[in-house]
Amino acid sequence: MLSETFCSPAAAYFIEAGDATGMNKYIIRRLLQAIPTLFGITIIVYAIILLAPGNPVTILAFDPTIRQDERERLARSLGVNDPFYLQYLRWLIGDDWMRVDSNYDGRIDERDAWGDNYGILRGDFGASFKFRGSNPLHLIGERLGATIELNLAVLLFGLTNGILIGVLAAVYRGRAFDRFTRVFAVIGDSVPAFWLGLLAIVTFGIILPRFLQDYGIGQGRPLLPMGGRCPPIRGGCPPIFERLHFMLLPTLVSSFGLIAVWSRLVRASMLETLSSDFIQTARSKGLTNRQVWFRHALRNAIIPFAVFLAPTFLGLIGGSVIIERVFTWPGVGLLTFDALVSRDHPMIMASVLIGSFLGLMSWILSDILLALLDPRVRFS
Amino acid sequence: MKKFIALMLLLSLGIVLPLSAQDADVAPGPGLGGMIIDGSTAGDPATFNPLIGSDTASSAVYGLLYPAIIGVSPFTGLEEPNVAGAMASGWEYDESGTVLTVYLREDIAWNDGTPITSADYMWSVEATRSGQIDSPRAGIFETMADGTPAGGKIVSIEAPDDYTVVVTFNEADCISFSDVNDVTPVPAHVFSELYGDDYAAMMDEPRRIPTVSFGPFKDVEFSAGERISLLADQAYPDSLLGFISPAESVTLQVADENVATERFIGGEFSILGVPATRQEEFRTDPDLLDYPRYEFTGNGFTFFGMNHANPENPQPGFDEEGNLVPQEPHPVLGDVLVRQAISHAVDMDALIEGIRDGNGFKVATHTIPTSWVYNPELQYEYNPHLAMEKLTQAGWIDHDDDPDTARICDDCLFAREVSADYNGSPLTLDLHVPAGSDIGEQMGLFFQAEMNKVGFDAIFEAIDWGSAFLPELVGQTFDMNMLGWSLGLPVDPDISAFYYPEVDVPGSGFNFGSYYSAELIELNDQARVVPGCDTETRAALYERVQEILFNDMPYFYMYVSESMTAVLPGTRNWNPTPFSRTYSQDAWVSPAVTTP
Repeated sequence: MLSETFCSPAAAYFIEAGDATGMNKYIIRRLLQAIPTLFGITIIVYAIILLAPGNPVTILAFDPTIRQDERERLARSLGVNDPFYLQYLRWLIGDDWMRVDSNYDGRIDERDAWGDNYGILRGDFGASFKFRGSNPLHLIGERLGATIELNLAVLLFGLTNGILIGVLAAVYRGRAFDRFTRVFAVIGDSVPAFWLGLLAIVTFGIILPRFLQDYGIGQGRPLLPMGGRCPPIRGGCPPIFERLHFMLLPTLVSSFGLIAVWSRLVRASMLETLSSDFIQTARSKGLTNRQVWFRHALRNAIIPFAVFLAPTFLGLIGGSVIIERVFTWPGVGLLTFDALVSRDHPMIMASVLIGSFLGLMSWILSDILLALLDPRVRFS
Repeated sequence: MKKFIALMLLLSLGIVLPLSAQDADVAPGPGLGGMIIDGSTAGDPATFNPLIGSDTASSAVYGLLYPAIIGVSPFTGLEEPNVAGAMASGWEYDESGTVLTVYLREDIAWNDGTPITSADYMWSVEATRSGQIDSPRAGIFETMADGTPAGGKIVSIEAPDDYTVVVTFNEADCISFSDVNDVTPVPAHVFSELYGDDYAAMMDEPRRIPTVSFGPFKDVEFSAGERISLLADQAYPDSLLGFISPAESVTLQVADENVATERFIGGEFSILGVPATRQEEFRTDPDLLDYPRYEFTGNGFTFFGMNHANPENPQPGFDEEGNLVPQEPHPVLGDVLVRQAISHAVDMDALIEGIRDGNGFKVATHTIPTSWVYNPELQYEYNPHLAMEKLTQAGWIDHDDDPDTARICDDCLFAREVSADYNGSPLTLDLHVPAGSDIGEQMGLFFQAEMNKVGFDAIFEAIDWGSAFLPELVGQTFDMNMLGWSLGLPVDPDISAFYYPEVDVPGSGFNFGSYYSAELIELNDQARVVPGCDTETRAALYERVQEILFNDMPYFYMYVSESMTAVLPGTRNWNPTPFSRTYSQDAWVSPAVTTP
């Protein structure tokens, strides 16, 4: 029952009582299935990018001082006026097999050079339109660490608190704490992160310091940094333990919604588990409440959620654009958002490809994790 | 003369407002003036190489590291000789007006001691013209190095000696003078060693950190998505005090102007371009009154672009043979009487006072108050009765005596010239602004309400910039879209980039409203070839140009923003000018910023 509820349909088909060989077969099969899925995603996304109104050259060169000839030259150099299939093919397999309009005269002839892109299948992510030829993979690499760092902190803080609140809300069902957390969950799930972020900036950066200063405490300076990941000093970002205060506001704001959702899910699962026979057995053995709640009930109640860990983390990364924007956290979300706004096709495709790959892997990992955690689930 | 006095008055109004007295020439010493921290919403620079960059974020960095060949004065906004940070000590045209000789200063050197000469400029010229790099400025040349037409006016650039550059144009043209500045000199001895004549190799490393530079700051340290830091360069010879006062200049990325404002108030930034919506707060909030601030008239304007041609059938200005293509008129805006009616229907004073807190300087032509062709007498008259009269005169009648319903066409221009079936159609228009700006949306709603009072059925919508607004604007399928132009420096009254049929190209041109006036083009062409580019002669021609634009209304010209810049209390030697808020930054003494 659990396996049908909490794993993907494909996994449910394969997960049956079995052994390690079954698991290996399952993993290989899932990985093979991922290849056409990934391929399909790239075609669909590329088509959406090209079908969407808006032209990268219009956005990049929306400047009357740039001459008409120059805009046309830029369009030819980026190849954005080529038909869909040609643009996609160049992204996929490169253009070193064909001549390109290297002198930008609008014609392709012997005077033109061969292309120099190798395509994604040969590991060439192309060149960013907006960042003047920079490799998208390099641009993502510059920022991936910041995104992972923040979202791991959010995951850790959000899940710890969400689970704790969920357990307590279940064991104190119907009492003031439960009612309070229910209201908190509704608020946490509905307040926009952008607004909450601005509120946190103004509160901790301006209102609270000035309030304290009125009572002779402090000099009215911000209690916490209002943005950024590192202090503005040369020599690179210091180690994380020296700049934890930079993470506080974005982590608090970003985990607000996560705590709200997970506390309600854990509460519901805990209530179901607490009414199970084995909990009655544990109680009849004379175990303390704390032992029953955390050692027996919680361990069983959170098993189904283990499968959501990887997708939740991925979801956080996907949704981190808002937090990164408000707190100027130099992560991938902001980079991808800018790429979408500026129609930077190679940058968008690199983000999509990496995101899709991680997404597919996270679901496979989650299904495996479920089978490992739940003795009732086995691979054949 | 009257205009000159008016201009001087405006300039002096702009200069008068720094609140705290600036203690000039008081700085503790080289690098002892603290750290300047500025917030930027422009994003990461694409490159530190001026030959392949064009975005705002990039030019903000390399503008501090490389000289211009001809400097723009921060006091006049015009090109002048011997401007700090620029190479030219003077220039002259030959009698034909097609050969420009620029004389270079002999007293400046890169910070490794190598003299800055014409060879540095020539290396950049050859790289730009080579066609090997994606330079948005290659279009200044008539042809590329391989003979491919590039569409520009510069035939050749030569350097007869180390301190002279000779530029030959294919025709005398006053605005081509600025083209010379589109190519930024780079240290040839460094770049030629790095790249030789393989200019394309520059594209492989757009973010290569410059090692040799010429400017008040050097040594870029870049942290993606977060920060750009530069250190003072005490070797810079053009500093105001004889040394660079700040130790460091840091630009921090910030998501939007509201966050930037809060961080500035919290003491995290040294300087802030105050958003229009927060300016009144800085004027009246007791907590903010001690922040030195500077208010000046901006060098761009906001307008509603009007489509003069039928949005159902966008056509280019010229056909493939170069013949003028007759444009089918816009059903509503094709008639100048309707456009003028709109100018009388909207109370711009109420808009500026009510929505922009008084922030805005009304304009009615394609120029700004600080321009030498500005005519303050050209102003739209708010007169709803006159608006209704003009609509009636244009064949848009109030058929039911109900001002709340739209007028209908009764022998209006489109019915007369295109299709009699159009009679009976309602006076309807779409008003679009880019989504994401509260003020923009309020202004759109205001226009809608004002226009509907005189019988329009104006339908307002805020739409996404990249996927909806721009495509319909440059695709020429819009009715009225609101946007703004920043005119850059130096501001020249030439209007060829906006209203010529050459740039009426659906999908990419900037004459997106398909406006055409033969007289306007004739006058503008004359103004561009005035011998010696004499300002008085050009101004006389542009006086008529402004009148034509005022009457024909290719745009509903709205206002020039009043800009405000503020710095932290205690900042010294901050002497902004109408054309540069950071002029004198090499002399600043900044109080310590807050770094929790």
